[in-house]
Amino acid sequence: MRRVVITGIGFCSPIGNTLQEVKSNFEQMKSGIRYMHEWDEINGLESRIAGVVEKDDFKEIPRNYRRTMDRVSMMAALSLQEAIAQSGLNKEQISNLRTGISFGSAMGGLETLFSYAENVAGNDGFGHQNATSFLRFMSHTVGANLAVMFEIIGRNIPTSSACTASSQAIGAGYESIKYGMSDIMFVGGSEGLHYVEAGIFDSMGATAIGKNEKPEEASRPFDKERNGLVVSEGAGALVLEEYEHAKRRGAIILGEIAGYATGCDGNHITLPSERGMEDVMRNVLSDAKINPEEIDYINAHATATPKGDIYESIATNRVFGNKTPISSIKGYTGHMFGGGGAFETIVSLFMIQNSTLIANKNLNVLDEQCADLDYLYSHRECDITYAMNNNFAFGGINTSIILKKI
Amino acid sequence: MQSDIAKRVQEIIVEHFEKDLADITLDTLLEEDLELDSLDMFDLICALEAEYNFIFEREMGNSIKSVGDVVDKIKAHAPKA
Repeated sequence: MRRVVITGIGFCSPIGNTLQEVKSNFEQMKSGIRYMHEWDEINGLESRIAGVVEKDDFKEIPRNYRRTMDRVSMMAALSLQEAIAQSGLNKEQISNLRTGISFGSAMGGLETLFSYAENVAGNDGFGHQNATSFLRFMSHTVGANLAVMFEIIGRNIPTSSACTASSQAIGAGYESIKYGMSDIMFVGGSEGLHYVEAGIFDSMGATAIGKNEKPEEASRPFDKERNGLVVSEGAGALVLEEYEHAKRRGAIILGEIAGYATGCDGNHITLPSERGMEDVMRNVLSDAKINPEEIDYINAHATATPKGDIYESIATNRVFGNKTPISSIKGYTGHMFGGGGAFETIVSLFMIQNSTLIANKNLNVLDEQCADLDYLYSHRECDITYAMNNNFAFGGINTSIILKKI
Repeated sequence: MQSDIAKRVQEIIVEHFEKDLADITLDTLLEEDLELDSLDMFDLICALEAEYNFIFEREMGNSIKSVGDVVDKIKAHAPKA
């Protein structure tokens, strides 16, 4: 069976755009969530905090590519550029029928979509709309733009499943290589912040409220005082490569994707299902051909919503019991939506490489309704061979990825 | 580049397409010299329509090759001009 390894990574995140920044922020348990002065004029928002990628100038991307990119695509483009540079792939290997791409986002280009809709609904109608707006906001804008910028001619599989968009993209890349359709896949996802996300989740009662004055304490996975998620943004990109292909060209191998599974609850549009979560965790173990006790660390989806964290903890307990260390990094980053699965996979890879597990942030008192698990209250040094990254999305879409030290 | 219209067209091209002012004369070809493609052409027309408050007919757009052609079309059709 063909093995799939990681030979490059890149990211933009609310806790930094470089490995050094991210590492330092984790070490200091520093949050990337801040008050959004930019939203002061927006009426009716309860949650006025967010995780922000502190970068506004993307002029390093040539204009002929940037013209059709919203923020969501530009963050993804810089992340992929970094990942490809790290992988050492040459032009011939990148523009190759055996090299493909799979990238996702939850919303496409929201900033552009909103200004476009405002113009159309206002007095302008369609009279003065430019030609590039749709290309910036369409649901597959990230995958389409990246393929053009990097001249990718193999398969292109855009994903759009909210919180699992980028983990499904990783899965699509993994399966493309494992089953022989590609030798290299550029995978990941992205999300650009917009106040409408805070408004949408406010309306569902899913945002963290009452913490506008203390943003860094707002996102608190598994904690008794949690009351919702914090919206955020960012991107993650990985270069996946067939193991022998990577070895032959002398690539530095960062880790292995040892398994992937995705499944669907087929139950409720927003409520998670313990059974669905349990199924996807069991299925990924089966794909990786390992037992639950071989997993050394679980990176939980845990967005800090009241019900989601409980259901996830129960499903995790059913599969693993209470001996496997678990944490969610959303206490630091907030919920990066379409960028979350990829960034969390990258962070899990850091943990494997550094033999250090990152603790939950803001987990002070465990919610007694959460199942018995080995929750990480502080960073912990330990050797990690296998790590699992879980993500769950509206529509009951579930993903689980297993990373292996190599 | 003498007239006000010509100067404004020059500015719009610089602003929208990040070109150097010095590279734009009435003889500059939009496609060959400035490397504007069909998407850029639509966006140029969109910007000109907003600036001069008139609608470019599609056929009109097809006949524009140079910066001078753009200026001529505006002079001929735009009420504000």
